[in-house]
Amino acid sequence: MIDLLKIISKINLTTEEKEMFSSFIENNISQNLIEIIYRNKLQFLFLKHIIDQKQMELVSNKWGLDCSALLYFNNLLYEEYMEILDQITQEFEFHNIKYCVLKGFSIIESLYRINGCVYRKFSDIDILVDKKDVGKVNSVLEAQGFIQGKISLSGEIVKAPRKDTLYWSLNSHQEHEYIKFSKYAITPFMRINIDINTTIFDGGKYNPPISTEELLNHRHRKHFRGDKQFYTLNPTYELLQLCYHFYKDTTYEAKKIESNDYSLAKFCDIREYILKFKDDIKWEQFIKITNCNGLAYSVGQVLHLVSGFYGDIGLDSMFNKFEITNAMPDSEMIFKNFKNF
Amino acid sequence: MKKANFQIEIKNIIINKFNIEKEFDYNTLLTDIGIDSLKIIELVLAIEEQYGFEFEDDKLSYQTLRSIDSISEYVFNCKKEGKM
Repeated sequence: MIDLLKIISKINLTTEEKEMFSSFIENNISQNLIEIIYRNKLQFLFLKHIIDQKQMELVSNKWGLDCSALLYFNNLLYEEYMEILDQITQEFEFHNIKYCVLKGFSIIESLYRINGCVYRKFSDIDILVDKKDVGKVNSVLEAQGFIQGKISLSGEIVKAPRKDTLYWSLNSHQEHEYIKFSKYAITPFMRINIDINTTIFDGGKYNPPISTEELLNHRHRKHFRGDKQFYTLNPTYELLQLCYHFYKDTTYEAKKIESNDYSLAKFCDIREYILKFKDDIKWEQFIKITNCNGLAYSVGQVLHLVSGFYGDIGLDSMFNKFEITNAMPDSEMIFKNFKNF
Repeated sequence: MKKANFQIEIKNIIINKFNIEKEFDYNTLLTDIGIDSLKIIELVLAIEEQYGFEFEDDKLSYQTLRSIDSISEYVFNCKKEGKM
């Protein structure tokens, strides 16, 4: 099962992997497998591999149709988010608000667009800004129709109580989320979510190892769709951010117990990012930043896990350069206990 | 209104709202008198209600909210600048 999931979570398969996929799928399609694929957020990649390997007859037409519908909507929503991001970032630049797009949305275009289709699920856009600009950001987003709020029981967007926005602002790495309904919304579930992050690390009283101001000095304009370009972190810092985000979401002790966020989609992001941008990442600088800022254990641990899982990202010689005193986690033990498998 | 007035009033808010019996001064860290991350929210709300204004987003930090002195410094400056 783990070998199959490993293959499914790769965008491009070798000839041998294609054969292994075909062979395994012929004999092992089950409802259990499908559930595991969804838990790991790999349904779109699985659909792609099924079609590429000409094995559509092995899944039910109903499943294929349902997944295709979700994929289609995912792509529609992606285009809508791109339009919205374009509008927002133009306003940010007009108001001298330094920003960069973070996390999944920053890598979808470059990693997951294949033959015009985006094969990665997403649920929001994360944007990093300096805390001093939050007031201006709030004005821009409100002017664009966003509300810091939630969906009421009657399906309307209502402004969040002041105590909720205060709580997020003081204790989280991001402000309370901004939402509005998608232009395609036919139910209240279909909405646009913007998360304004004021740090890529933990929020609250935690003193970030690298300030947001410093991070925003390491952004670059990345080409997205058509003529659209937005600021993201440069590859060296973007990898750092992807790894730390993975660490925050998955390897904290409390989350280890649940393992809900140990989805392979995150493993896939990091592997594919490294393979694609290996020559653009300044590895010596990357090591130095992690070591000098006390991030060697968190970032090194993530790379160790991803490297251990796939075995093909070619970073083995790097691990002894991380200045770590704690032992690396036992990858095999983690994978054995990984309930998403 | 002088900063000292804000200091007195904010101290009274804290004592009355959270039943603080322990002695503390304007520079005592609020965390040292039991004002945790949930109580700090209540304190901010109480101050905003008292003075009819909202803390600016970029000033909502544990640095601004660390002591009565730092809070009253901020509130006093807001008053001076006509933000309340």
